[in-house]
Amino acid sequence: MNELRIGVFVCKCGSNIAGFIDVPAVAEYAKGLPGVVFARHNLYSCSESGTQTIKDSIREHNLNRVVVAACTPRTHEPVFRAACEDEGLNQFLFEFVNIREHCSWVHMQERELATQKAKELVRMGVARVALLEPGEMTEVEVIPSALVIGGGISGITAATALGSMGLKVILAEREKELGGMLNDLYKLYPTGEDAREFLDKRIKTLKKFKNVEILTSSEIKDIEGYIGNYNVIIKEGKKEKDYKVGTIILATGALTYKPKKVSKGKSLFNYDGKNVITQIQLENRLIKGLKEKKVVMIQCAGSRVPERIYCSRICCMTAIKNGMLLKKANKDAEVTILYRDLQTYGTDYEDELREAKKAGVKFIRYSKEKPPSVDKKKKFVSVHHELLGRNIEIPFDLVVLSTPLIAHSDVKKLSQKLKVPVDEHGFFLEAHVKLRPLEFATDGVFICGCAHWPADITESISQALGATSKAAIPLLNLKVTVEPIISYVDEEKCTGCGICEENCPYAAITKDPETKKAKVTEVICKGCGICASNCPEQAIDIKHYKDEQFSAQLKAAFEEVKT
Amino acid sequence: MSRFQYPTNTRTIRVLCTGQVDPTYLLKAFKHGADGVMVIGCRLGECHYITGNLHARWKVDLTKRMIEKIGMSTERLEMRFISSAEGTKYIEAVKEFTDKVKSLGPTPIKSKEKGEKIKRAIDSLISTASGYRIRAVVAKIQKMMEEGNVYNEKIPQEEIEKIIEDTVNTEFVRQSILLCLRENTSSCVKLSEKINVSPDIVLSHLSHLRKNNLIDVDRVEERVPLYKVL
Ligand SMILES: Cc1cc2nc3c(=O)[nH]c(=O)nc-3n(C[C@H](O)[C@H](O)[C@H](O)COP(=O)(O)OP(=O)(O)OC[C@H]3O[C@@H](n4cnc5c(N)ncnc54)[C@H](O)[C@@H]3O)c2cc1C
Ligand code: SF4
Ligand code: SF4
Ligand code: FES
Repeated sequence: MNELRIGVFVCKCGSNIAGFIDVPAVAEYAKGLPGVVFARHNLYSCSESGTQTIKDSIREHNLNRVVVAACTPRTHEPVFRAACEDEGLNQFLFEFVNIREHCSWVHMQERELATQKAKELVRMGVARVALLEPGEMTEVEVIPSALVIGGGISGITAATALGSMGLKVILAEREKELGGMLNDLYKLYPTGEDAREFLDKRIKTLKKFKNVEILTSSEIKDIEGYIGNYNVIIKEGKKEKDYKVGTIILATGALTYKPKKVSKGKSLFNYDGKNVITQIQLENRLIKGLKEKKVVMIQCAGSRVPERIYCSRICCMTAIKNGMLLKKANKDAEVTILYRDLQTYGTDYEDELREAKKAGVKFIRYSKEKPPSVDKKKKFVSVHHELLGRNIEIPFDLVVLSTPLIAHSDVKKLSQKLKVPVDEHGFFLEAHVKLRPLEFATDGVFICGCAHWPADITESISQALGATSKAAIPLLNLKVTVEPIISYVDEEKCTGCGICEENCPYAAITKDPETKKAKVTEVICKGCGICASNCPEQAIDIKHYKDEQFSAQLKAAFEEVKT
Repeated sequence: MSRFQYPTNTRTIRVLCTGQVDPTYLLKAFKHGADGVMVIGCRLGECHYITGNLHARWKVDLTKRMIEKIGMSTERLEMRFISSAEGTKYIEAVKEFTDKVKSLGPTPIKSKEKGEKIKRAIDSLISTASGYRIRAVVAKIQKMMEEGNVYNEKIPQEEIEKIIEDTVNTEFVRQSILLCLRENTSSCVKLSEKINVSPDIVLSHLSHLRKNNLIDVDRVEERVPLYKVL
């Protein structure tokens, strides 16, 4: 191998790093590390002049490895990798050391110790960079069509947006009709629009696009492949059809929780589906016209409890909306909303709450410890009034439970087919709430709407548009580049035992029928490393995260320091 | 970013997913002088690569068993399941763990009397963790557990633990013997003293290793056979 010529650039990040760490001392220290031929500090390494300095130094000092100790690779790795490539240095010979999030920002009161730690982090980075190997991005061709699973408002929005870009779209809905939960709703907050009209308008627009194929009564039978090249089998009624798509948007929505009806025992707030119903059942009755005058609504019915700790977000506004509608339809109606906390976020929603109070909807707070009880014989709801400090009884004709949105019971099946995770409640889990929203670790699959978390229509539409633009990028580029962080098998060591194949969550490894050795399908492999840690022969390594690279880093982490 | 403060004496090593965490990495960290090692993965069932943290849990478990063998506190190794959005939980976990490790004192590796011995023992553990047998057992057992679940025939936890325990015991002794013999030819009794295992057990392993052509008798001195590695 060529002689190592490592360059280290330590960034001040203005005062973000330099304010808490002696940056010049770290750069000075780096000069003494094995293989380092050049080290300096910069004010802002990511600035135009900062990257120029890096480029100039690569040229002048003939560097063949670069370490930047700065902020987070999440945002800045591409910048420095590009600078390396500009100077003909392979981007995988670059290592990012995070001395901001991992050091200066988290040890603001300990300048000396933080400086010490920064030196050690740089030392670990230098040890690792010395062993890095050049890699090439793989380019994959993309089939310019998308599959949208679920035809609620989220799926309709996504399919329409993709359709308007001229892309081929398959929209698969398992019910007979498009529309999802909106089919059961009456009027919509915050606009007061009629749900049916709102939905019909959007379905009509969608149907104008000839490039959108709408499949109803359709189930996803099988999905295999990877970003750019998915093979999907969809069962429409009795027919099975094959499709090839490049990206997939998940818009399978949610259900409302329906308390179990128990004949003699107890059900939640004595739910019976007749006099004690859920909000969605109320919406259905409102469509037909409601006779009952005295209505008591109970919020957080089955949510923010140990089995379902989350807030379903839409129920407060739904109760306020329906309370108002009842009052508007009949001045003599008596509407009481029993709540634990009211979530009416944003200006519009808070306005609705004020309106409802003005219109005479009564709000009474209850605590989790003293929940209301529904007496169906005497026809009153009894609740501990926190301000009065005693129980009060509210007569009713109808009790409405604001039950939460819950995930479909068969969500696991879909998550397994697509190899994307769901959280403990069955909602799909995006790669990172802030850094990679609407995406999964699996490239090419995106999420929007209530499948992701309880959301109202406004939010579902925004998410659907967000997911659409993410899903459309590869479809319009007709290609994607995939990082070569994937596993590879040392055929000399491999005995063909098949353990890796059994354990790969993506089915990226198969046994080569000829050599009888494990073989990795590179574009499918995600580089998770499960095969490597399980291979009994230690025949597998992950490119860019190799065993020896970890070992070097570990060793460097604990060396006695000479400062 | 919330910029929560935490102790400076921690170093992070990034893996794409805890699924790649190999017992050998954890053992190497101890060998190089870590006072404690923490593996942090996503919440159980929420691994972004689906099954990664389930695999890691087994590996951490195995490594705990191993360090216990050589008299290191298992509390020096810990796995936590925290989502990438739970910054405060991460900080708390790191703080708690550093406090715990502090109370355990510095790693025995750094002790003047025992240090070298423990280091050698860790080397034997690393060889054990690199060996076919233990790796295959751990990989297969995961599958057995899963498939057991599919057919609803759960293999009792104790049985599984026993298989792992036995394999670790056997392999650890064998690797320790090999390590000693790599340095010097030695007799059964001497080996037994060096690795703290009774002579009859050492003898049975010696004969196994000999059968597998890993060692042989070098010479016989005063009627005592001395072994060497092949
Ligand atoms: C009582 C109630 C009142 C509400 N009132 C309002 C309101 O006034 N204003 C407002 O903004 N929001 C309101 N909402 C929220 C609104 O209903 C949701 O935001 C919206 O329905 C979310 O749309 P979606 O497409 O994400 O999900 P959904 O509407 O649930 O649609 C998902 C679709 O996917 C289909 N699907 C599921 N699984 C599969 C599968 N495996 N294969 C194929 N298809 C599948 C389903 O059949 C369904 O058609 C209310 C909700 C409720 C429960
Ligand atoms: S687990 Fe290792 S030895 Fe077994 S088939 Fe896979 S690569 Fe080969
Ligand atoms: S790293 Fe291994 S286990 Fe993970 S996806 Fe690639 S081949 Fe499969
Ligand atoms: S991605 Fe697997 S543990 Fe986090």
